[in-house]
Amino acid sequence: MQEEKDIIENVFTKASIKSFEEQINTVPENYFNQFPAQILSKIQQKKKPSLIIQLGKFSIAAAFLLIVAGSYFLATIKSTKENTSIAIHEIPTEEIDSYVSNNEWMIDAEMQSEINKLGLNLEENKQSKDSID
Amino acid sequence: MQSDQIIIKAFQAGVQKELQFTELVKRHQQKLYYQIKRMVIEHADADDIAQTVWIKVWEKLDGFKLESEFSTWLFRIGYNETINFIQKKKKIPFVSTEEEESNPLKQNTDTHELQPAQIQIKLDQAIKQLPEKQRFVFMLRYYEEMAYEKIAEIMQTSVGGAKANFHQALKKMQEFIQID
Repeated sequence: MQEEKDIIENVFTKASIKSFEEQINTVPENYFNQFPAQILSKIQQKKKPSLIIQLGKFSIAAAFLLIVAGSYFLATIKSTKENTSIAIHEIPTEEIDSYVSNNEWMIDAEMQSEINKLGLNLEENKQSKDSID
Repeated sequence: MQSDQIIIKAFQAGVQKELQFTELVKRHQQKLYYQIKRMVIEHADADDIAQTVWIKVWEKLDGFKLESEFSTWLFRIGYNETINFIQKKKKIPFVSTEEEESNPLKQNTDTHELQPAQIQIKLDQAIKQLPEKQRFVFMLRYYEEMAYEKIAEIMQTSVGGAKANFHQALKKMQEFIQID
């Protein structure tokens, strides 16, 4: 080590090497006293995400929730529809019969109105045929 | 005084992390800063790099395996950051034309006849013209009196490689004096 130092000091002199080191050692006042606190505050700042990042994260979370909720809603509607059509097929015949007998008067009324309509049509047809003749 | 290892273990266990970290900074900040400044010369640049290094230390200290000395690990981060900085900004310090014109060395080239101020300038220039690796080894060896083994560990090279870098640096500096 000393041999290496001697070579360097022979070339440049001890004084100039010392002077270079003095130039390097010159720092602003209190620099080293303030440095640890300065670093810690930078680390704290890095830990806290900025408002934009926070909002960004929030909006991503909201969009995700919306997609999940929407998909669930659509799936529920679809399954309800499927359940309904299955239910019709599965209604027992006795139940249909009882529904019909209970609502017979309605069916009669519907049939009567259909007959009336047909009668009117027939009469109109007859009249038009007579006028042609 | 607690060893670096005890402080690091406490940090890794989550015991008053900021306090442990501050203690490490206080212990090692000066040596790290000076080594960086010997490479980049300007205080503002050295400060920027030193801050980046310490922030990286905070981020990576939990994963530090204590297989090497903390100072070796710290200097390795410092070395990488300094080299990155120099390469990125191409900020290899140089003497401006104006400075060169008024440079007393231009009037006198024999080092034996140089005034102390002239030798100082000559030394600055000789150091600045060294490639980064050689400059880094030269500074650690001469000013920190660091063993080649540790220098090799920091620079992730062989001991022979570190020695070769130092001797090449010496040779280039001698040549610089003779040629100029």
